[in-house]
Amino acid sequence: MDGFVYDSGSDEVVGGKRYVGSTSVVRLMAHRFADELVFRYTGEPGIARTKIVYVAEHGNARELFVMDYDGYEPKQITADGFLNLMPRWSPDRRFIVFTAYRSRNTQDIDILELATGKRWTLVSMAGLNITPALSPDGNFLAFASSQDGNSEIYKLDTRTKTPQRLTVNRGGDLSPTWSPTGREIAFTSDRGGAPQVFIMSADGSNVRRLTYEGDYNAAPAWSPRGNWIAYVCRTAPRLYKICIVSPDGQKRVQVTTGPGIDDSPSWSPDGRHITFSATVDGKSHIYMVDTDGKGLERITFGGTHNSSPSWSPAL
Amino acid sequence: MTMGLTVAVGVLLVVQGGCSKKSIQSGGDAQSTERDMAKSGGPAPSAMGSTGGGGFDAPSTTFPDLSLSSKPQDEPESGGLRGFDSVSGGKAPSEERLGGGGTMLAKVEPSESTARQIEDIRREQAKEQAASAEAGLRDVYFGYDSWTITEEGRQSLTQDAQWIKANAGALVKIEGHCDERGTLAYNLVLGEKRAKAVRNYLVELGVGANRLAVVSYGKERPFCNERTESCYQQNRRGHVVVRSK
Repeated sequence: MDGFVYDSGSDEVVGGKRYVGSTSVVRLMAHRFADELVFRYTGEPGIARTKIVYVAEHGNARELFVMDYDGYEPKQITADGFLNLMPRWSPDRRFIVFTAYRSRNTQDIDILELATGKRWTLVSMAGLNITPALSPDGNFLAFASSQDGNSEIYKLDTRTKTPQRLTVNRGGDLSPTWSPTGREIAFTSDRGGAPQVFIMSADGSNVRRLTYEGDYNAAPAWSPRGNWIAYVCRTAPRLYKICIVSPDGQKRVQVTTGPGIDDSPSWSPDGRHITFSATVDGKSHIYMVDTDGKGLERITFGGTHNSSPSWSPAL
Repeated sequence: MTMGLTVAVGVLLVVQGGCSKKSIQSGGDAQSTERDMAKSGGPAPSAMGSTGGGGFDAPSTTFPDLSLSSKPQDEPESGGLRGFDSVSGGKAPSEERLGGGGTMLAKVEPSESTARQIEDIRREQAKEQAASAEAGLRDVYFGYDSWTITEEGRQSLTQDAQWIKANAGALVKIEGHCDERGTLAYNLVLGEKRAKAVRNYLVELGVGANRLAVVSYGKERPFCNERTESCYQQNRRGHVVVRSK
């Protein structure tokens, strides 16, 4: 396949590239060409070859799937037969961390190597083991566990396997998300009675509340550019939408509107788009939207339950 | 400059069959790497200790090295983007050979052991349901956003406690459930708060805490899927079940 770039002013060919491969990789060729154009003209890696890991119903079970960022080529990556939830990418795209229910009654945090299907259990503490998130350098896994009675945030050193508890209070703390520098963690806490988004340093110090508008703000996701934190905000009358807020709390924008119950925002690696799930009339599907609320697109169409999308890093 | 550009992608497929030309850029053919892995006996997901058979009972104790510096240098396409060449003056564009996708995925096909596991789960659930129905155990329902046990809930639990105390060998599990509103993650915490509120009240009524297990399913195992208040109410519950041993 040959790709050319013309200058529409002069009709001159200004660049081109030839891709050679079997017909099965035509989509890949077009996506690679798109990424090369974006890289050439913006200096940033494009997102055309990024992927989204998500949860979908498979029989009565919820399993993990990976699809291209545009919804094409979904592939099942777990077949456990019960509940696998909240998948997240490793920074090098080789692994997925997620919550797996072990024999229905307890949860683990597992890690799956995509190329081989090999799997390890990273966390198996008492109670909840949820919302895993690897640090940008891959050296730490932040997650929430309720082994000490209520849900608290922990940080596991993946080299020494040592867990460290980061939050200490009687409320529920969960959903850690790393700043791109790895120096801070935003998270959900209901320590004030209702869930709100907080920020702390990666050692658990310097805790400060970030969201004040409304009585339900949760599921934060820190943009890879660092300038926004997306989260689920509850607006009147009990609508759950996607909002973004600057890490200093100064700017806040509601991104989505409408009747759907929106959840699980996750950023594209270029920080321009957000993927999320929306439940309408009992059916959940995955969408993406630009940060200004424009360009809303639905990207899953099959089945009745597609949720918890997580956008891969760029290649 | 960018504004004035029109992109034309000419599709000119080159059939690859039997082509012996080696990959010239970007680390080569991902598919062959996958094939090599299969040949060398790389574990298929269904054959693995930690996913097959009993499911998770043999997790590996060694973690993979996750730090970014451990990324293999020969990973397909790790060469990154090379950009395209200027082709003015009749020069041919540079060529790149592409294999599989940028991210390799091991195939997961529901294997015999998975099917067995799904069947085990189904049988175990049916057994629990039957035992709970026979025992006449009652569930507890909660208000929106709430994990406080209502007066009606207390009455249900008083009955449940009598049965549990009268059946000394029985183990009971309390599942915390939520309606579809709110986030998946926070509902798992809310579901656990509900289940623990039920457990704590049963303990207050004299049931041994060691006979009561709690698990939260958040909004992931709903009893109904309609967007109505009566369905929401059905799903905001502490489900009390006799645990199969």
